Amino acid sequence: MSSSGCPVIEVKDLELGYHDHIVLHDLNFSVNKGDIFVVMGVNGCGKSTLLKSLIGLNPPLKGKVIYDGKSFWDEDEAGQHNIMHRFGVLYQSGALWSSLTVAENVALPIQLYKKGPPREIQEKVALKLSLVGLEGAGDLYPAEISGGMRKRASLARAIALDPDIIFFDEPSAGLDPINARKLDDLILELRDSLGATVVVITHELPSIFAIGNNSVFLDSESKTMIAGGDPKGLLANSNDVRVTGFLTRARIEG
Amino acid sequence: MIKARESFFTRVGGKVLLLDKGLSSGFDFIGDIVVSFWYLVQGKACFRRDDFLVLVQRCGVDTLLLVALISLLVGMILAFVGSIQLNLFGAQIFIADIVGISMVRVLSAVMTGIIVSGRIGASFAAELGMMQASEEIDALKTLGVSPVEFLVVPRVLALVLMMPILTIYADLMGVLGGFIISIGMLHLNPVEYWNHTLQAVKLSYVWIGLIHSLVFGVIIAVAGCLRGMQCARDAAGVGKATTSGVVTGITGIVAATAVITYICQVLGV
Repeated sequence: MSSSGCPVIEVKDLELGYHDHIVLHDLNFSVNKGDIFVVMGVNGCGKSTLLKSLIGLNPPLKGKVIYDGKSFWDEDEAGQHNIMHRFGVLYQSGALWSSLTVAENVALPIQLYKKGPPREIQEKVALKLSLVGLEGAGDLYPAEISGGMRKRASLARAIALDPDIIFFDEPSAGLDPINARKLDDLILELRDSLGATVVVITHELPSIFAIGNNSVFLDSESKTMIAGGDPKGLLANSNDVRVTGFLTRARIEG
Repeated sequence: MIKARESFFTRVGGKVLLLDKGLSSGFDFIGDIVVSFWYLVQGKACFRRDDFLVLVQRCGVDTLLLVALISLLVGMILAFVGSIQLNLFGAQIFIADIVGISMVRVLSAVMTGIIVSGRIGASFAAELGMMQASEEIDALKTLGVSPVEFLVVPRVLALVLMMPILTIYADLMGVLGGFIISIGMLHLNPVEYWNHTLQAVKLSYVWIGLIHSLVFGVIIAVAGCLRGMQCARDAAGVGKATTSGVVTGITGIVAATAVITYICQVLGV
């Protein structure tokens, strides 16, 4: 499946920060349906701050985040919840609820919003776990599984409600190259099978080039986006030394 | 470079602003809890019965042994200390009154509150702090679930339900402690001791003790959960939240005891 050209997320004049401290400003970009959209940049450039604003955790200082024509931060609580039900989020640490088993973690969103008899919920949970290759791990607690399994379990929870949009915060962080590659393949697979739009926050170059078809590059010094588009295209055509330096791991003097 | 020391007034102003911020976030949190309880009453809250029952067990049964031991010892200490003075007047039998009234009216509730604050309040702060640090609370929020409904309300409810039961149990253990010392070491008549206790301890004192315990339950649970939810996202933050949860809880217990005692004094009970 490829990008359809129809924007699912539009970010307009977004300014983010905490109190008087501005982290990012003048952000303008859109994510099309079916995109795997990469938010990239060096450590501390504000990638996670941007993600928190996109998923409804941190209100922006100004500007809009628009989902299918609805401005998220201008909606009332019920409207925001309706938009949030379309998300799935995979957090950097996995963020599995530690007091619940893997299966219970995946089941909770379904119990809350889809209801249905317990057997039907169990079947859905088993399906989601098999999609991420975690058959048989449902009865284990998060503390009993490896980092890679935790990420996959968290992904199973993120897709529990069959979301339109899946956000990934540093999905490859803490994973070895083989598991990171497997997760990249899984992201592509899920995008194709669920028809979802994917937003990935990362600075892992192999992942960026393996899965991304659209992107925005955030710069920590100017505190704004300095480039956007297909990462491979940026690598080939960008004249900005900060972008090419990042994408080629070149040493930048200065 | 060493930062220049701020003036006295700047530092005082900064502290006052911090206090104001702390108080308003505390009141916001209490407001959220009240609203979530209202949703729970209406059956709209996101509430897992299984989690609640586990919390009830932790707050109640798992704390019972510690409460029993401490209350027994406090009853014994009261009897010992009381006997020293009462012996001067040949009125040792009034140990029963001292132990019975002080345990049932206030001491059982206070001691139980302090134990529960150290054990349960600390665990609430540490758990929620760890959940904050590991983004588990963010995961709830993005699912559209209020963390106050899902995590805080069951904890407050479990502790408020268990505190009066633990306090009644502590009353009995405290009186038993006084009884053991009075009979075993001071050689008082057991029947006379028991009768004195029954005469001294009015039903209103039991109610006053239970009111203390309910108030303490709310204070400990809210303090622990508030500090956990305000936790910074690192290991040091979890430690600070835990300490702060216990300190806030115990300070709240002492302040509430003073207020309730004053109210009882004014009402003449």
